[in-house]
Amino acid sequence: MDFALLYHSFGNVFVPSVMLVIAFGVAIGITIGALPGLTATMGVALLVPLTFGRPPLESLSMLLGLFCGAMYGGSISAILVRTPGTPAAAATVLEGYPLAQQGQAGRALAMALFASFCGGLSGALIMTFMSPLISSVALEFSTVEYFALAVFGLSVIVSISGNSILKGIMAGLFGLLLSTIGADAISGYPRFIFGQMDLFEGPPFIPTLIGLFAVSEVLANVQITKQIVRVKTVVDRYFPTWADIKISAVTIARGSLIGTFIGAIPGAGGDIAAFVSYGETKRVSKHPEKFGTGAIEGVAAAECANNACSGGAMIPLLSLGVPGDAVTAVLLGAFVLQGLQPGPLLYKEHIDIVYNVFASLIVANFAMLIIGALGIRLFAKVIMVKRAILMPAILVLSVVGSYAMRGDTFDVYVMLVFGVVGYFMQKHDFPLSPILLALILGPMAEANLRRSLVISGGDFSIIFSRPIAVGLLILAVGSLIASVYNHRKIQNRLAAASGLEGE
Amino acid sequence: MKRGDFVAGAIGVAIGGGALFMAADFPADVVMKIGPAFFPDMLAGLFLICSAALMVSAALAKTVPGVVEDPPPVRGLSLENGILRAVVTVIAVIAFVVALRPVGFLITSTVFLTAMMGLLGLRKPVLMVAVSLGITAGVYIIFEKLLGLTLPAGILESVLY
Repeated sequence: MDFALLYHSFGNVFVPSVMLVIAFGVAIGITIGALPGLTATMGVALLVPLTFGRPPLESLSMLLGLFCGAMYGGSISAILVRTPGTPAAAATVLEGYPLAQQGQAGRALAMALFASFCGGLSGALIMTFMSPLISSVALEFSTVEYFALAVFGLSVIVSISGNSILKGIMAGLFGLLLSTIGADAISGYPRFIFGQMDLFEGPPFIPTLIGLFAVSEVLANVQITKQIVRVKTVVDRYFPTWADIKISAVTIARGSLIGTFIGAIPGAGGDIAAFVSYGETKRVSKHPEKFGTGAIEGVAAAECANNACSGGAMIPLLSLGVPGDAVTAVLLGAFVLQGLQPGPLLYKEHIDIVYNVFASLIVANFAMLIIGALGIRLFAKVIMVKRAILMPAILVLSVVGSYAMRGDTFDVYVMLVFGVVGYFMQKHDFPLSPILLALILGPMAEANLRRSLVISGGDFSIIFSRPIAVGLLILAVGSLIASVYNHRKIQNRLAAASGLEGE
Repeated sequence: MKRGDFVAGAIGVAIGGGALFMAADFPADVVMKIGPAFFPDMLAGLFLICSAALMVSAALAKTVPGVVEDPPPVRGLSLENGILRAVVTVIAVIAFVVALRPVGFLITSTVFLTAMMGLLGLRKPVLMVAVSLGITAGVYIIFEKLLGLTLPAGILESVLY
């Protein structure tokens, strides 16, 4: 931990242009988070094209602001229309909506914002102190460990996402196969490009991303005609009362730790963090019977955990280059587009950037608190925007975002293909985030495995000669086996909550 | 028999098989032994096995009585038909992309937005056109003016530049 550098980084962030993009990112993030059907992942995917040609600090700050805002924004629609704006806000519905029905929407929203801020700030601070430690260990890594790390990252996301392990593995393998499209990193031989020179560098990342996470959602959304109904209530508070803060203080502290810890596990996202925190709070509560009828601690538990998760998810992203969830996987893509490859080497070569990321995530949380409080009435109205206007607008942004980077319509068709593929995959219960992670980790796994084998002269036993690598591979297999046992438990809990959406 | 999963498995088998077939033509690496085909072969093989497993499990699965949807989905050539709306959306995006270069972004985007809003059931012409113009202008200003990226001007080229 280098405090002088951290101090200096705050200096870099506290300049008008950066503060402005953070505020912009936060405002867009809250809006996207609040709109049911638009997720944080989709928001980052749609905004990544806006960072072309901008300096790294501005680009990353904007996306971090968006990430942060979207995590809170989900609670607005969870409380007001009983529909989590993002999957991570599913647990917030359980207590938030009953509160709104009792005419206390303002109280619930104020607590959601305050808890989100506390959680987000704790997550960001823990990240600032933890990730340099992890990366210093990771500096000892050789190609074998990187291969094992990539396999570990993939195994965890496969085992945790989706309803079926088999489908998760298939999605991961499909993504890995896609990642082999283009010139082979070692020999330069073009693989699976079907004569398209546009595919020489692999499937274009941004169009793939936008297709999978934005267009697929639009295709699902245009089929729905039902309008959302908002509970009639006044949003009358900007800040929770002292009494509410006192009730929830312990819950918030616990939720922040749970959220950061779960966020740091690759593959586990904000939805799981929120449910675990909510469950723990209910378990230790003196009045568990109040839960489900509008317990303010429940809102605090869920919201601080899902925001803490965003800081936690940045730990493996920055220190190891392995994203913790789908949003951080998209963020990883944004780093790479800026010419920065997260991981131990980033600490060696661009330590200034790393500290700037710490500083901007901390600042983004303060921005979220201010913008969230001032704009709450506006955001509460935004969720009523008609789908018929929203969906076409997202399509235009998707087309332009895919087109603009290379000025190539080929990329837009790639986007559309992945949109259709993503739509069908989701419809048949195949998770999408393993594909994205595989696209990023696939080349890392292949290049490092083959380099290791070049070193050993083709002898596979080199993989088992390095203790850390063996440990990671055992963890990978372990997580797959454990998930078969735990899967039903987690899924039932998530299904119980998301079942609320359909009603 | 779960039809969706069976079809998904079959598609997977086809993709895995196709990839194995194509990878057979990749050159072997004489020096390093492990050439460009090594990784794709391994992945395609595993993918093929998983897809086949999905087909088998789907074929063996008991048919679950379909959930009665409420209200029942509309079929046929009507804009009430959700699936048809999704298909038309895809076609509309293709038309948008085809027209993008020759006609230009400003006109294509405005027309596309208005048409899509109509498809999704909005019936207020003034609002539709006004919102479409607003969104188009917003995207244009952000990409062209703030980010300095070029969007096709098309037939408005002489007006814009």
